[in-house]
Amino acid sequence: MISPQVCHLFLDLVASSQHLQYRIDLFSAGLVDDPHTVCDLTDRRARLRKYVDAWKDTEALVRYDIPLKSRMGTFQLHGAGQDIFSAYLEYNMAIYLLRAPSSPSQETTEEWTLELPFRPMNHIVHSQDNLLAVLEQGIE
Amino acid sequence: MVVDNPTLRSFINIHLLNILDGSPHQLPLQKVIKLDLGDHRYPGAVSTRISGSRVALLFDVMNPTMTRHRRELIAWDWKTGEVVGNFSL
Repeated sequence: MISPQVCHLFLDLVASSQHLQYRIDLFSAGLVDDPHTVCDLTDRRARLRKYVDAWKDTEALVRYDIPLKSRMGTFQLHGAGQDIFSAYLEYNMAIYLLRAPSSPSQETTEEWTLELPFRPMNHIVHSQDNLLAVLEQGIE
Repeated sequence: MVVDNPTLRSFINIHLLNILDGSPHQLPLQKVIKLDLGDHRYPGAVSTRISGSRVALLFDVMNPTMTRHRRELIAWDWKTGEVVGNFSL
């Protein structure tokens, strides 16, 4: 008889505490609070709910159609800060790049192509420093 | 890295470019990083990650007879060119 009583007591305890519910939801989502947050508990719960729902429903916040220039190549998506970079690596010595804002209310997308003096194998984008690191294919 | 045959060497070049125009990037000391694979070659599936000024590169290397391969992880600071980690996995 003790065990069901403890369970009910625990359920009442959790149900009566928004803070406890939030902590459990946060743990379930695999997240921790930002120690510097200035949001109150209600706001944090709403943000967590929106975040969890977005993952659950795979809700697209922004949708872009990215044209593929060639059938041969590799495609990568890089997210950093306010921008989303997509880079399509072509094996004919060119990289096609598209920069899109992560929010539709911001500026429009930009597209450009870089011709390379070597054959690329792979690449990395670090948009904060405007860095594109490209691995050259097959040199000896 | 272990070199089985010191007379043979192969390399991967990593070019650090300005993403906007493809020109050499102004920040790093080295505009091209040359990774020495020893006498191994044909890097297989390459995975790359970048965080802050650290770049990590994971790749497979094979010996000339393609009978043995190992996985290498190398990480370096792209602003200073300093290698901060180099492991055979």
